[in-house]
Amino acid sequence: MLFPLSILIAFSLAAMAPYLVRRLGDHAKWIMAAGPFLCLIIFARELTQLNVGVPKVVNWTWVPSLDINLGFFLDGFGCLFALLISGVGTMVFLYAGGYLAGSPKLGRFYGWISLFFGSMLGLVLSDNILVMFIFWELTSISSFMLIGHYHENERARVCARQALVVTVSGGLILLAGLILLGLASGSWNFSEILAGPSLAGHALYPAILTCVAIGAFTKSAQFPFHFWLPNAMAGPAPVSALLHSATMVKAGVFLLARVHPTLGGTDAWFFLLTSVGSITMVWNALLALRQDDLKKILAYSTTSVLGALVMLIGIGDPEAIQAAMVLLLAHGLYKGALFMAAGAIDHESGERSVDRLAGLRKLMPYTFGAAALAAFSNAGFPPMLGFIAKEYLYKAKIGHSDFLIALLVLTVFANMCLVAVAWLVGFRPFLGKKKETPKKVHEAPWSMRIGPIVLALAGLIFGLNPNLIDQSIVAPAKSAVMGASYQVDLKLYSGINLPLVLSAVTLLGGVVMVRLYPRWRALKLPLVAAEDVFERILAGFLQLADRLTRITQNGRLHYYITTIVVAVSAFLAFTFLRSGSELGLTRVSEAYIHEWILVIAVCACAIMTTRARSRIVALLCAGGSGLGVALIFAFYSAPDLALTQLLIETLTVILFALAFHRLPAFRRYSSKAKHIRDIVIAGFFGLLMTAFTLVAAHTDAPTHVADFFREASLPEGKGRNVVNVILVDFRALDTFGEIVVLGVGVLAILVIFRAVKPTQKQDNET
Amino acid sequence: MKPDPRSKILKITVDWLQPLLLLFSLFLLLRGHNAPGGGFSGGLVAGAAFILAALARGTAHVRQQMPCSAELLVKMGLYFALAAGLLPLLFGKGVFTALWLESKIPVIGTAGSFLLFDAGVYLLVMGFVIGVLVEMARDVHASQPEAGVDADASPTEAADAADAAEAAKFQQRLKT
Repeated sequence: MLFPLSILIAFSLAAMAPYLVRRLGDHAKWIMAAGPFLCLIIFARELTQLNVGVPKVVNWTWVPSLDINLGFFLDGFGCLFALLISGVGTMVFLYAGGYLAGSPKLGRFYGWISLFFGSMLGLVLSDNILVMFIFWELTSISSFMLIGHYHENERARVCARQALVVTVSGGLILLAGLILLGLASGSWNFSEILAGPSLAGHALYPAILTCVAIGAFTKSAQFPFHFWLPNAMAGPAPVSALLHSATMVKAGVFLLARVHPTLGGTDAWFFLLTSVGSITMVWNALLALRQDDLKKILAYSTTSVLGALVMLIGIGDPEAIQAAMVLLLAHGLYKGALFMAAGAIDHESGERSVDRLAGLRKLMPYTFGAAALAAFSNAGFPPMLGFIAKEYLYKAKIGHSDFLIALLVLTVFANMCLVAVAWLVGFRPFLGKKKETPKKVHEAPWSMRIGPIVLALAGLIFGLNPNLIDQSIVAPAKSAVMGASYQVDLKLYSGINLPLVLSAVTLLGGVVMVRLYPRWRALKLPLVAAEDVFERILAGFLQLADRLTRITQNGRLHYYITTIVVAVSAFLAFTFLRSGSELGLTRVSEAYIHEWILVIAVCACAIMTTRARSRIVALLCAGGSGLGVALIFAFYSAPDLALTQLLIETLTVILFALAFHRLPAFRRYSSKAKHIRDIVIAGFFGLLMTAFTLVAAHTDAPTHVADFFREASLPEGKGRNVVNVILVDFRALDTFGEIVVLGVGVLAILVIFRAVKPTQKQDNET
Repeated sequence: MKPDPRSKILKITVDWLQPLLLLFSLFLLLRGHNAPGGGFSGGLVAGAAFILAALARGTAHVRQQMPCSAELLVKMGLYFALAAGLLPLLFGKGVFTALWLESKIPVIGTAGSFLLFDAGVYLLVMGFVIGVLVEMARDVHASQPEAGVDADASPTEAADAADAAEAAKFQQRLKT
């Protein structure tokens, strides 16, 4: 039951990272890499104790009122993912230390990537669906920071924002889906939902499926949301190697596979996932071959594989799921290695375009070796794990229906493109005659070699010895996704059959694709990029917001006050006319003579304020009417209000007096017509308020709230000043909110004062 | 040397009045629970005491008088109020549950977490008044440099210069 500890390890690593890097410099990478490695050991140990069909569950109460437990559970599928994340994570953490060696932002980077690592583990281990959602969003946020690592670069900021907006808006839809899922199944824990019956016949099923699928598609960069992933290459190479090969982008695939026992198996599920998956697979494989940037080629080929995975989960029979599990593992290993190798090339040569890279084999022999091995796996060459994955990928679709055969053809075609991708990334930069590069090329440091080499070798070893993984890793994962127990026996060579023939065809087709690559890239296509559509929608929103702001916030105080007063009057008048209340005119005669005098004085002051010909007179008149109001409070036994009103009035007068120093000379701005309009509005508002006061005086409003406060004040609040007891005790939370606003306000005002001042001084001097 | 334009009578009056006002503000704060007053009005009075000083003797004088900046007052106020809200958690009660001291304290009387909260409001309001009004008042003098070449003029200018440098730094940060 150690496995939730891994998340704790990752998060504490995130907290310590900046400190470690400051103290140890580049050596911090060894400690940082030790964290994921420890997690890897934990999960490997858990794997040996795993019982198929009996997931391990750990639960802590967190927010019981919302049914949110801090619950974690581990089954075969979660374990496969956790192993992949921590395995690739170990290598990438080590690699990042070399890649960003000497960078002042290394500490920050390690902090965010550890946070990401922890969130990703949390995502795959969460039992509670809402906790999973929290981790889901945390991965989006931390990946935003990681993609935007080079934040001085505007392009990086734009790409980071794009990834964030796409994944987070998908996340919001997913939240709706998860809540519906929780309501429909009656449980908020995966362990119980998965053990329960399928929801296929439930009334909410279409809504749940749509929301969950959109969430997964945005996260896993499925068509038409695929564009954010290639743009996310703006981040440093270790980010791509971890986030965009094995972890973040697979979160959507993870989710779909996770809910497969509950939501899968219907026609809607099948057609939605297979069509979106296959379109993504083929289209992105084609797009990959239209790039010249190493990392972009890899990014598009990644989305293509993600499409294949979604398609396999959509098919959803045991063979397809088994193929998906093997492909998941194989892809994580080879793509991680290729991303790291591409990063090493970029790091050492300063060049990422395949056209300008060649002949690096002698200068970077280790990187070449790793890249070549990984590329073999990517291309599906025997005896790599990628070959086995592809065999099962083909096998999963053979001979079931016409639709599946169509999918098979598409898959073979996409894989031909991937063979070309493997050539472009794994071989072309290394073979041929050396070309000039911006930097003098030499082999990457050891920390950057270990990662690609280990991952590529793992692909080879698992390929040669599939028995290492079939019963131990793949079988539990497959059983968990299928919701039933399965045996798995992977074979490297299973006789001459159709998949083997197709594999050979794929390799041959790949050679053709390599030949066609320059021509296909040069071909001009009248395409509408999904990215442009997205950016245009975003720009449209901004424009709309801009226009609305211009209308609602035009900067004229006069306009604001008029709007507020007119709106309030309209609502009040409407309510007033509808309720038809009686005016309490009888109580007017109860007023004493001195009260009348005061009222007349207040009104006179208010009128004089508007008629004043200088600011100081206007100010004094306004102050006078304020004082009058304070006196009224005092008469009607509200000493607290009176006191506060008096103080506020005094300070307001000082504030205005000080502000006047900055204003231009006094002038009348309004025309006569505007004046009359304002008088009408103000007069109407005043009359309305008076009428309401009279109504309020007339009706016996329910006063149990006031009675409660009056009675409870002394025994419970231990104070005789009811107003103050309400403020600091009964409704202290409200008061706290108010003073926070006040505090933020004063800090903002001080900042503005300081920011504006120097320019003013310059103005004075000139 | 130019004559000091500020009124001597005002200066001396304020010198006497300011401590009294501050004392009064504390009085308001402490009696607030049982009689008119409280942290808000107390804070306003305390702020007004410093405003008076700023008007009589210039903002540099106020700056010297104050043991800390207005921002710190605001922050301390928020921390006090927050502490009053979170303190009950230590005793296993809900946020902002009132806590009471068993015995009465001389002069203050019954005391409890409400007093901490009210003191927070007091500090924050005082910080608000001093921060905003003194800042504005200083601008008034800064825009008329020929008006006050008296003893405290040079520290005023020095303080202004320091503030200007800080502001320039801030603007630079805004740009980047």
